[in-house]
Amino acid sequence: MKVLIVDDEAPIRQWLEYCVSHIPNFSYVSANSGKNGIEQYQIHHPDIIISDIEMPGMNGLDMLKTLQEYDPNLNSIVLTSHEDFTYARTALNIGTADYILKTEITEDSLRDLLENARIIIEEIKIKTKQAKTSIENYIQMLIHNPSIEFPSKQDLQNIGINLNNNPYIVITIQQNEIDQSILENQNELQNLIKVPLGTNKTLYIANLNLDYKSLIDKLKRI
Amino acid sequence: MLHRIHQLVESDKEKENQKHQMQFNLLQAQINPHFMYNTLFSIKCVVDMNKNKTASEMLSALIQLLRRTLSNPDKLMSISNQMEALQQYADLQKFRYGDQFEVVIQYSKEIENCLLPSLLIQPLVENAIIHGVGKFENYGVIVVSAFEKDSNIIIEVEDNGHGMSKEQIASIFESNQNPNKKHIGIKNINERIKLLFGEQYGISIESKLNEGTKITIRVPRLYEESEAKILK
Repeated sequence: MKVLIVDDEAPIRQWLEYCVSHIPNFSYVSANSGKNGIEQYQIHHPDIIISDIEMPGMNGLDMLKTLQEYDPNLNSIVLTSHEDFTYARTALNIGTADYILKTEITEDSLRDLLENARIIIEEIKIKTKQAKTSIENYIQMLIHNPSIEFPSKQDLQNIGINLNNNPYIVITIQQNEIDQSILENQNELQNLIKVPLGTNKTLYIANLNLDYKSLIDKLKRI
Repeated sequence: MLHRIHQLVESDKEKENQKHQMQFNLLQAQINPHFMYNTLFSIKCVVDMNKNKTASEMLSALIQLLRRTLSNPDKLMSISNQMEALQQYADLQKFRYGDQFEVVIQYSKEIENCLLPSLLIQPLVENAIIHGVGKFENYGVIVVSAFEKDSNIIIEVEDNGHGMSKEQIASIFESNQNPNKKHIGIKNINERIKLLFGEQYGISIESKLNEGTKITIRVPRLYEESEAKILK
């Protein structure tokens, strides 16, 4: 499990790193601001985010709201003060978030929160794997029945293809055209779904982030 | 009859003074408890990681700061004393936020024994760190200067940070429903100065977006506590 720690106060950030490093099978990356948090998220794709709220520039809640655009199932642990505890709970209503008072957090309580998050993430992974089979069947059916109207974003969500409000792209690639792992590792693509089509072709559906023009350039070069 | 009128006037004056003292105590008590909670929590984090030397240095700075500012909150403090407390405050903030900014303190020896209300400058520096230089990625510089002008003491807190619009500046001075709760220190300080010394003293703000902010405090030059009472 990879954890992204976002806090502008050096001693608290270092303490969170220290706690996470003591939990088996957990690793961490860190950021000292909301903006830096988004950059680190795009590079490392962490499973869980621990974030302070009060930070200069982009605060923790704004950062998490932005990241929830990329991943509606984002797992986060929000460090709050007494004053912003209620506000924080109402401000974030998407994804999975735990809230903990910053001055009451201990190494044990943080470990419990992370272990709980790990259980939830693993359950989601199993469900996603099961859903993937039915998604593949659905896409195959669409392709082989051109008379069916192309599905809306809502139709796709109903069968488990969770696209966010950003634009999305559908690409089919012949197996020997390009190394497919190149496409799968592009930061410009989120919520990527891969559907094997048989006859050496693969179909990809994914959201594009705001920087998608660089992806188009890369694809042109490929 | 005259004696009775005199008694009533004296009684009113006493009540007014008590009211001022109560308001003063209340305003002083409002000054930032977040700094205390967060600093103590930072020190706890450092202790948990067994970094005892750093924890000890942070605690020393905090003890010195508390001794200088809170032991006699209703008293006036010399400029030199207040600037030393400010340096300790800046040192603590550097422990917490790293080397992202520096605080430069400058004042002439001639005014070092002049008196100021306690906790007058520190909240302004805190605002400069959080709202000013903290919003930029480049290195922040906060310059605190104190000097004498026309028998008054002028204190300037200038930063190279984010700056404020005219509307933001106006909202800082609005009473009660101030949405700028993080800037509450400025309104507090302005009211404290006016309560203690009169309406002609207080705070003014000059700011340009993306260039920085200069906050100027104007108070009378005082050498004795008794002078403050006369001014009231």
